[in-house]
Amino acid sequence: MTANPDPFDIEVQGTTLRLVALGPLVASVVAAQRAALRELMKRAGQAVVLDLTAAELVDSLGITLIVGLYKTCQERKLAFSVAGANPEVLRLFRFFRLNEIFEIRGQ
Amino acid sequence: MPELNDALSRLHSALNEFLQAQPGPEEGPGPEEQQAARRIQDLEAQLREQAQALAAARDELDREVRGRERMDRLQAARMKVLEQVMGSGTLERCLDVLLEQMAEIFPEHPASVLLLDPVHNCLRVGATLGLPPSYSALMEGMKLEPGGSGSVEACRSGRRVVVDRLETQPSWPLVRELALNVGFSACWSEPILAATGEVLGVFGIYAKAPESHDERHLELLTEASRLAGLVIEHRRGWEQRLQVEKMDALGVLAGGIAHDFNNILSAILSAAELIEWQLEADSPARSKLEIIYKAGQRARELNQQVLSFSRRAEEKRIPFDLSAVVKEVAALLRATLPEAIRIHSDIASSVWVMGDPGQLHQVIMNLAVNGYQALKQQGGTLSLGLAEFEEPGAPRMALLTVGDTGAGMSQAVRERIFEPFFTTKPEGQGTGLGLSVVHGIVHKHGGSIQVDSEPGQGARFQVAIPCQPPQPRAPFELATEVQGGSEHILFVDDEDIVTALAKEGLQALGYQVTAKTSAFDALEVFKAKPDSFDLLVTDLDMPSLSGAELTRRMRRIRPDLPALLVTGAFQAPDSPLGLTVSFAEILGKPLFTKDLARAVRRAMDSCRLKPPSLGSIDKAFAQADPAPEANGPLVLFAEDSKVTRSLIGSWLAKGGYRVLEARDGQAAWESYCAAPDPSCFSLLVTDLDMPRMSGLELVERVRGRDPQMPVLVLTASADMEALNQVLLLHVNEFLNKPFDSQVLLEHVRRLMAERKSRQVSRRFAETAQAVRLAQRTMEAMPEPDLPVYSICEPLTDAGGDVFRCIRHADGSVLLVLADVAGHSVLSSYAVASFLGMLSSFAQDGPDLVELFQRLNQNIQGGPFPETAIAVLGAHWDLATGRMHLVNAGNPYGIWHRRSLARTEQVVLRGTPLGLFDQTRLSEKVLVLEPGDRMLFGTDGLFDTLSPDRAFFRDRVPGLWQQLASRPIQQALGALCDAAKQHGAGRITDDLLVVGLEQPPWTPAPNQLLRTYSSVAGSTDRADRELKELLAGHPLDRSSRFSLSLALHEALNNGMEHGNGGDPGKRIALDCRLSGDTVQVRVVDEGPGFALEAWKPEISNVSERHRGLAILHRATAGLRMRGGELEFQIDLKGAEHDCQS
Repeated sequence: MTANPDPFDIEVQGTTLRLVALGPLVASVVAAQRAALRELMKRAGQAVVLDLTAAELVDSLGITLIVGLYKTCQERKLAFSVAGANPEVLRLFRFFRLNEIFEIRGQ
Repeated sequence: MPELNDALSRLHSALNEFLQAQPGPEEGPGPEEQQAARRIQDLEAQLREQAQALAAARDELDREVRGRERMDRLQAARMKVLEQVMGSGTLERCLDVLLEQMAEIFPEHPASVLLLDPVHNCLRVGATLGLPPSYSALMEGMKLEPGGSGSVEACRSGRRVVVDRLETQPSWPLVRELALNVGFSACWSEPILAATGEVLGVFGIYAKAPESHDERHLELLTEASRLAGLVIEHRRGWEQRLQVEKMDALGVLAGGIAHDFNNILSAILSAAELIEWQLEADSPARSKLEIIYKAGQRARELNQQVLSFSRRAEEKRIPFDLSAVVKEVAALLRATLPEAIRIHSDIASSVWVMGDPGQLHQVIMNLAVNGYQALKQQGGTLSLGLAEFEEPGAPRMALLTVGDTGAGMSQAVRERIFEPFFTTKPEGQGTGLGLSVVHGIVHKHGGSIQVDSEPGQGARFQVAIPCQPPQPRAPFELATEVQGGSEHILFVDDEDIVTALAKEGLQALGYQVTAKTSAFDALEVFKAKPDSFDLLVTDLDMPSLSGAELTRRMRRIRPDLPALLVTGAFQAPDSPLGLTVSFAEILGKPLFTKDLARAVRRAMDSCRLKPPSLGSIDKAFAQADPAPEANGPLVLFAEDSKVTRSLIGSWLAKGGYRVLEARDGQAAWESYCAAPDPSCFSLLVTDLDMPRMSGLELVERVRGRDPQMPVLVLTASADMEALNQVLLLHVNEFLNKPFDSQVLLEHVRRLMAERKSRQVSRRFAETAQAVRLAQRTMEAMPEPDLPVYSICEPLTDAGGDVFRCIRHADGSVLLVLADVAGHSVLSSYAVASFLGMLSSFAQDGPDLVELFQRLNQNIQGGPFPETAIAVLGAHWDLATGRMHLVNAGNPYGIWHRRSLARTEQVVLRGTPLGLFDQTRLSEKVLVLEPGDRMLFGTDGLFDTLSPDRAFFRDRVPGLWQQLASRPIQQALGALCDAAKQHGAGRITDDLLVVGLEQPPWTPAPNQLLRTYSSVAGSTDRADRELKELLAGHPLDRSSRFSLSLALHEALNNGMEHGNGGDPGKRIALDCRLSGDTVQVRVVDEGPGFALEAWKPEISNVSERHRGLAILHRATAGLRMRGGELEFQIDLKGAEHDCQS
């Protein structure tokens, strides 16, 4: 049911693939995850939700990762949304106006 | 550590007593007591180990301190010896100073410098200190044969010979006995090597008690022998240059004498000719006249040899019979050599060659005289031979052989025998030029020379020269063959006899002759009736007006006047000293009337056949030729020594300058005043000490009229008072005698160029004072409490390299290396001016880039606006290792990174200051870790000694790394020595090298100072450590987020873009908490980038754009310089930063 490429938990709920970040999305952890995450997208039926509840910090590389996920979803015609962003991360997303591109929900 | 051991023993005893005194079960100590005892023993053992380690460390430290002190003393000794070498000290004096300096370090050890005499294969005493006379006497002349002495062995093998106990040394019985008698028990000998590895001698140290050598002795031996090598090579080179100068001067003198001699010969031969014409055809006196002719001809050829030596003679290339010349030499030798020397000759008849009979006569004479020298003491046979030989496929050759049965030569002598100035004759009895001249002449004739000789076997020189077909002999020319005429000839020569005889001879041939001994008289006569003369015949070298100038002035009145030139210092038409006025012919002295008459006839006939051509021999006639219309700038040159005046005048002439020579200051001043327009003089070159008017007064007077007149002072005097006075007059250049033509012309050319561009300089007195100040500041400047060392060796007294270390109130230092273009007095002015600016602007510790810009502006607006100054500035915070480098045209730095065991170049370029309004600077920030070393130098070290910079590029980083374990001062010295060896010791620029070593960091309590590898995880670690630093500071969630985010972005940028993701490259982090602000500096190893060129984007273009956008929004004061990203985070105001 789940694959667990650290630092994410993968949950498949019906047609929705839920990626649960287990810690900060920063340079030291995201670089190695891109290809693996893109592969995981194949499991998604209709939507992908990125759960950032445990992501205390997201830096520019983390944002690149998120934008990459969003683009992959676009290509596969999947809905993409972010959930559980803390207020600081939320502000960062707004700063980059990501909230105008895909749905972002706070904690 | 005996005290500590005692204390431990006492502690041990006290503890035992304590344990024994404790009440316990009767059956002995229980488990707890036993455990306690074991712990005490363990502790005791640990303490002992630590005590031993401490003692070892202390010993090591003591050794280190002593070593450093020794190196300091060695350095001081080296400076004193080098001062002596660069000064006027003789070789002996320099070596004495060397020994005195070594005695300062090891006062109890006598020492000696023995020099190798390769000719006699023995040692000579160069200098001794504390050596008994009997011992010196034994060493003097000691042959380089096995069993001689330690010094002999060191000299023979080129290796160090160490004898710690002489009494047990079985070899060298003679020396050992004497050494023991005079109280020596040990001796150590080090060969003195030239840069080429050639053994020059041996440095010896002696001990009065049996003594085992240690590192100190070996170090001293090495350094002393190295210094001795420098001294010997430098002084010998200097003496050789001096000898060349002397020979040049002698050449000039000989040329002058030969010139006069030609005039005398002219008189004799012309008179003989006139007598011959008056004799009856069968007069018995004719045979006597022929003797006079032949003798005169021989004298003429000998004179040509003298002129050849002084490089003033025309080289003939005619076919002639060499056998006649060899026979003549043989006859001469038979007549002159003592009977004890037999002459054996075997001379083939009619061996013709192409060349100069006079020069080949000189070859045979020199070889024969060389043989005579070998036979002088004990007699023997001198053989002369001449034959022809032909080998298949090769041209026919004449083989000249000159041999002797004398003492012969060793291989060492044979190998050097054709070197200039090499002689085996006692001092003062040979110039060492004879065989060198022979070698040169033979090669100029397309021939070869070889010598066969062994000690005791005599010597045989064989000269081979290409043969020529025999030529028919020219019949003796009779006076009746000379054709006369009736034209009117104006004959001018300052020699009365020559003039009178020429007049009589030409009149006898029917010519009408007006003869004058003064050029001005001739000019007056000509001006009165210019059309009455058909031909001018003039001597070239006349005191009032040269023949060339006389001709030129006459042709202003009558352009078609034909002229013949007669000269005693004959120049070939294509020689460098040609003529700017044309002559129908140029005739050499001594002058036969018949030759003159034929030339006159040819000139007259030519005039009748065609219109005169004035441009047939247009060459630059520069010598003593101040005519305004002639080419080349005019130099006024005052010098009281005739020889020096003539020599330097000829150098200037060869350089294309017209020279007005004056015999002293008074004569020069009169010439200057007499000039219709004094600005016709482009340069004043003057000696200082002259009769009637000194150079000082001359300069003062000329400068009174023309403050811009460039002045070059030539001086051999060390009269500082006079030099200071001349400085006040703003003399442009000094040249200390001796110097060569190249140096002179280089200075003159520069002055000429500067005259065109330089504006009137200001404030002579103040600037001169500043010059003296600048000279002092150029000396190496010790910084006793800073780990900064420098070596400065100016090329000249007026060097242009300077190093300054300026301390700031915050404990940081500013190091400045500057290289002012040029090595002249003017450069020194510029140095003084630059230092003044530096001290004014740098004390307040402004931003380094701002400092450079201010310096640049002020240099351009200052008194030396066109002076390029290459400057490297290093602002160094010793507490944190931060070093901000800004460069404007100096070479790279070399960075030895101790923790990485790596040495790398710190590439910085930039444009020298003073050239452009907006100068291009290159900057870089480094973080030096404890033990790291930097090396900086001006271009002198790297350019002049290794013009392709190969030494700097390929060798210096490795050397700097190899030397990392040695004290930095010593490492610098070794590096400079290596550089000099690479450049064979030839230094053509100032040398300035600065080395420094980072001491341990001393971060403040509120400071995080770390370096990290460029690997994943470093950012997280830095984030954790920063949070630990801020642990005591209340941070809200938003501030914590902003701080972490900014730190991540800054570190990501540095690692990924500055260091290119290379894990071997470091990133340094310096965070300092101050109130509610965190000041962050992140330093990578990249060159940095312009922030404005990376416009922050919030789009999804790249991580870097996003990262910079975050930094811009989350931080304040964001700045990038030379790889250092700097910003602040306000912990209270951060909340709004990232909000949109």
